Amino acid sequence: MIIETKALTKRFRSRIAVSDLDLAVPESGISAFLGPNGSGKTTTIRMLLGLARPTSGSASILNSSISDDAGLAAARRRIGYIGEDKRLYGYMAAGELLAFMRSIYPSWRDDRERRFCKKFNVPLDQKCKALSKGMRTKLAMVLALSRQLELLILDEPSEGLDPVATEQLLESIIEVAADGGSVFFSTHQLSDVERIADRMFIMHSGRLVLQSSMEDVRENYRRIHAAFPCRPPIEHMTMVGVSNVRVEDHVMSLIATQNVDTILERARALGAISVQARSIGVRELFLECVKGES
Amino acid sequence: MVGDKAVWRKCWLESRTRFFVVAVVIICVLVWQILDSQHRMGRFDRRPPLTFSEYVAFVFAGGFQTIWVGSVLFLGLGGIVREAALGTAALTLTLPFRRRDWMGVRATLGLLQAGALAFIPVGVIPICSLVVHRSYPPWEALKFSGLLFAGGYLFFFLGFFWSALLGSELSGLAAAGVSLLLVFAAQDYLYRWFPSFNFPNFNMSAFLSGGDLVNRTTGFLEAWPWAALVKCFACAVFLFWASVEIVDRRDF
Repeated sequence: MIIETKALTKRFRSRIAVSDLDLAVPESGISAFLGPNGSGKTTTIRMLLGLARPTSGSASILNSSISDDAGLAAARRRIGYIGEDKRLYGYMAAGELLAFMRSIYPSWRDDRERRFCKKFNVPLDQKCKALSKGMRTKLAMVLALSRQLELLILDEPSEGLDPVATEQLLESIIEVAADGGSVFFSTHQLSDVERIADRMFIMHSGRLVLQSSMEDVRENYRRIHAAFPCRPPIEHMTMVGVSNVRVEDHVMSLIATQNVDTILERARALGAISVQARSIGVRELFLECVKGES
Repeated sequence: MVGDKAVWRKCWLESRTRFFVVAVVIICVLVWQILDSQHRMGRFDRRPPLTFSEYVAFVFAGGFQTIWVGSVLFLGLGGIVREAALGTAALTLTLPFRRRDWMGVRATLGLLQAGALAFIPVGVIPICSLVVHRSYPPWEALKFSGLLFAGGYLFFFLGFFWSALLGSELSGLAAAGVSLLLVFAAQDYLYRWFPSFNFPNFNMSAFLSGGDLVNRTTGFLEAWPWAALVKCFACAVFLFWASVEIVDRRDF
């Protein structure tokens, strides 16, 4: 696992930001980290990078424990991070910041730096404090992508970007994954997730409410509607693969995460007069997870 | 790693403006005090009249000491805490260095800067003295500067500690200012107001400028207050250690 947490918890006085989080992000590919505002995504990322200290639990990133400062610092050589607000050193010009980063990372690739600077039109002689948020994001991408990465972590990277820049960003993320790197990104842009992610993790109120591969979602996750002549017997629908059961009048709605055929048979056996199953999109699944947990 | 050039470079870039501003202020004050020495010495109504060497000892004990102590305290403020306020702490702390690496380099660089500021008089006073047709031995200036630095770098760590503890430069400055008042004034007053409590009569300002160790005739420093210097060193080590522990536990 490239990221692994065990019962990771972060408490800010009386508020629990992350609660008993067990996260296992496999190597390679693109993992989307989803959740409504305040669900604990950013806090989790900050703990993984050593910016915040966990209240309890443990975690490792690139096989380095986050409680081992020296190991985590060494691991950060192989990690690229683009934070939520993309603040850069305002007193440095973009070119100076690139030179500064080049001096830190031995795996820096000048050819990539030139290519990405050209692609993103980075104004090298402009001070970072004078750059717009979109341009700061692009420069942060150049800083992260100009070296050999094993893991790229992005916290809401497309926030504040125009559609063209968003498209360039997504292309770059795909490029990192194609080069064998892993990408872990938090976002609210569910359409982006549907387009590029290989797996997704959904957080809500500090807890992980879903982790699944996109392939699994496409292949196995189904929205099932069953209409009954009387009140649906939901007590008989408790079985493996059934989640988010809702009842509205005589119609029962649920999400099947596996065993779809068995669930359909059970609904029919219980007297359903009409049973429908259809595939479910990321947006619908996300909303269902979040509403269900609420 | 503490020896990484990038860490040093960044710490230097972030502190150089303060350092140069303070250096210019110190140079201006010293130049003015030496060039105006004839007039200023006349204000010391003393028989026999004040010698130039004694006057220089007063310069070290007065304006220069005040500016230097305030400056090193100011240099001690900031660091990662300042970056947290500016929003760049996440960028810095996700670089491949530990928090204590940043703090170690910043403390070392800050001490070097404090030292450079303390030793400005070694060059400025003898040179300016020639302009007013006086002479002052650089070696004597070196001793006064050395004493001020050896005892006063504690104030750098006072600023360092308060900004780490309070998480803000401004409140750190206020707290450090109050601490300065306590160190420079309160102890003296406690001794005077409550003699029965046997408070040690320690005058920080006199200690940093040699106090009784300055020869009253020549105005030169004749011995070193080793015991007090060791206590200052112990306090500075404690403040540095506490600051590192505080920042290590802080969330950014």
